[in-house]
Amino acid sequence: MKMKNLSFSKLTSLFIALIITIPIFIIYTSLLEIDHSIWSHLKTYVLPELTMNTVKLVCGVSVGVVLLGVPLAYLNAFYDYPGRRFFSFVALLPMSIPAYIMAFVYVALFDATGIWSLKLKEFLGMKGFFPSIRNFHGITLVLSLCFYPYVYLLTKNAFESQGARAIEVSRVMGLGTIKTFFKVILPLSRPWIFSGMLLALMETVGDFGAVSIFNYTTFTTAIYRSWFGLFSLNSAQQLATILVTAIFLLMVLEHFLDKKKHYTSMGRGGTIFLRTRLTFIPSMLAILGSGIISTLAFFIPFAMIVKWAFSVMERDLDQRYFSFMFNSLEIASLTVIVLLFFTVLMAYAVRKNPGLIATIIKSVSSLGYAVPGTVLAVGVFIFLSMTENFISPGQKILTGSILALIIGLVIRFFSVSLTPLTNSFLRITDSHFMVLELNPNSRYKNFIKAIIPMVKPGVLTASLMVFVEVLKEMPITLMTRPFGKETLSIRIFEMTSEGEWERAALPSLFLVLVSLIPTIILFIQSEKQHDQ
Amino acid sequence: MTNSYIYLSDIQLKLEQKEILKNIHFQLNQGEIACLLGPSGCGKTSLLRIIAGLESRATGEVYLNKKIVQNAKTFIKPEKRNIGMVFQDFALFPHLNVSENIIFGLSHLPAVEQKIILEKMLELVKLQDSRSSYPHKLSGGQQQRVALARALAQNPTLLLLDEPFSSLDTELRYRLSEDVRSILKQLHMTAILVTHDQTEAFSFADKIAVMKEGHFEQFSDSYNLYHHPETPFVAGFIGEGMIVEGRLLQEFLPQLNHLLKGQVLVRPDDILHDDNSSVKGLVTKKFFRGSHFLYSLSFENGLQVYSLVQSHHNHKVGDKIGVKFELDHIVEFLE
Repeated sequence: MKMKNLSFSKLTSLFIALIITIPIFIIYTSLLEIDHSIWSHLKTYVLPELTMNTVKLVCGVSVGVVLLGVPLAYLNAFYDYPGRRFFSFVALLPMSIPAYIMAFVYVALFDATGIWSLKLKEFLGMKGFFPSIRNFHGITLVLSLCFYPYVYLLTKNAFESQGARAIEVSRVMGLGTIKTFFKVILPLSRPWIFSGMLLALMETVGDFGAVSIFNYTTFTTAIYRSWFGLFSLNSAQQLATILVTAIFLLMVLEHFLDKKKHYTSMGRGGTIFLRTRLTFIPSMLAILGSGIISTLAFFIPFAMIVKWAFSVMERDLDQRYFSFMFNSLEIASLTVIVLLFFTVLMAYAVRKNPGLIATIIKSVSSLGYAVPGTVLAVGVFIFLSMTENFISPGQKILTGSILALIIGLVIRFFSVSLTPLTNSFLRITDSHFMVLELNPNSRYKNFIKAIIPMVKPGVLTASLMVFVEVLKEMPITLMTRPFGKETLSIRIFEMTSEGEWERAALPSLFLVLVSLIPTIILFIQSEKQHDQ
Repeated sequence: MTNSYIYLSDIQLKLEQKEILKNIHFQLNQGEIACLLGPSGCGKTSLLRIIAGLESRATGEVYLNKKIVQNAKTFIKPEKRNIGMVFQDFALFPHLNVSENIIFGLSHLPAVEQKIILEKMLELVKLQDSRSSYPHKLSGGQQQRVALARALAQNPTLLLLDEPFSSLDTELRYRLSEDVRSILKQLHMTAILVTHDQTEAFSFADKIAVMKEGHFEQFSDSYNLYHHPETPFVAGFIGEGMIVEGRLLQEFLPQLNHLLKGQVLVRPDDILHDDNSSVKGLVTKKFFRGSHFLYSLSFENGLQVYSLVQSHHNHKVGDKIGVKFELDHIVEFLE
């Protein structure tokens, strides 16, 4: 009977894993029926530019996030200066500003006729056109400012956990600070720096909102335009196939880097980690550097949003706004509830069946987060319309319903919910499970009385993270929502499409404020980790 | 059938071609405390899990309280066996306080009864003042006592203890193992302890099963294990001593009237130091043991033994010292 239970939980989780992957792999059905006219059009006119743009952007942002993230991590991990805690906190804050919000603020300020462009032009006494930020360099800068916290956070944690012992060894062996950095710290932390870079890179490839505001054509915007502009789901699907393949290659790379992290672990003894205190001039330079980055990446966009939001509040904050907000909250809550149900089951299965099953579940669930939202939207739509045709041909019972949107979001944020849950399930030891098996309470009662309370922190974290992610989400909501279901992020998309920056700021303010909550929690957790 | 309270017959466990346990026979009377003693990987924890019903892949018969719980046809689920278990990591529920942990398995009883049991348990383990504390506020020893109280609260047929003291520091370990023993004896509780620490086994158990590679080497009390080991493994595992060739030993035992053919166990306390003795051994190593020195002695015929000597007899490595061989009974292992 024990074997039966085991295989039941295994089967359920493999079934859920299958359901998740179908809408992703269904994209590949485009290979079965290649429409040659579309394909040759894509190949000649669209693909070269798309590929070039995407590759350029990815390379640019990769360099950008490392240049911003690694020095900041080094500074805040190894040195102490007045305001270090404050600056190591604000270095994370860009995480709470969705890329599309950062993008529209910078376009509003520095477009050819942007607010600050005009002021600068007047100040410099320039004539003619002011160079617009809407180009490769502009979007690279904006996305680097958005995504460097990934590199910063992972690298800083690596420095703090690995660094102390390594530095001691290196110093004892007679290497100076600079040599220690390049010969010991940097090589040791390379896997973490690369993982951070890869995360930033995947976000860049998947970004839809920011590049569309910059009119910078990449795969994601091309997929959207093929479908909603040219009404060719087929060409959208073909583009998605190429993009998703590229993502899979990146995931394979990530997997190898992840393996490497185990080799580079240097014993964690009871070493006390001491930061070097900077003298006056270096302290001032540290404050200046941190200050400039956080001003560009957080304070300017945040201040602008607040300012603009208040300027339009009287005019815009009406009945409709509450319906946007209500729709956003409704979709987010529904997604959280559905996801929790599945992911708690899955996390339990992972805990009870470590090994192959756990690995499969974890990698499958991470697929959803890696695949760009636009691709997922296409996949879910194709999957549901196939199902529709099968059940009752000619009737749009699934594709036009909120179900499509919820499925898309559930797949997208599966790992966001699963990761904290599996971590909290680790708190339940094998002995705990044996205690439960030995006592006469029913299985159900044990689950409610013992297991759920023990994983409660994980459930709370998972709910919060998913809730905020769904609120911010743009492409899936845009492409699969039921007709007329406007949310805050859709409102932002519509306002920015029309260049109504100030009116886009009002919903943005709400999103940024909500997103600050998980960022603050992340900061507290990372500080705690260091204190231990 | 049998009249023993706990009875195991011909237990076998094979996992993926590997024999974890073989040919285990075991019986225990009510109120007795047994210990499974052996190096890690000998199968002692697996045997405990089989008794608890947590391991369903074994074959053989298991009787608890004279009732069958496992044979070829029957397998009673763990939650129906009424077994209490204490784990090495204590496995307390972090979200429940001391009292809630103790009554965790009692929810089928009316509240009044739960309260009575709780008070009894708190008194038994002397934790009345910490009843509302959460596990992380307790010391290791206190957590251990909560785990014990939780296991005893359901008045189990049998209490199983899986290395329950090994995460505590040495001093606390021995004090607590004595406390736990007296609590169990007071309740007339039948218990089986798993450990790799023989001092713990000696101080805790009435009967000890020495295990090696999935089988019992010897199942007996501590006196017999020390003085009458049945196998060279037991002789080597329990206490100190050396197993030497009988023929080398023969010349030092003139009063012995039979020929030593096999290998003989010589304990350090079998070799007495006597300055007047004409038998001289060369000190090759010495270890200070506080009240005693343990000398490693070698003799001209190649014999090597240990001798435990009071520490005011301080000899140097290289000295020759007089000894007497006093082996009251010969423990001999024939090939």
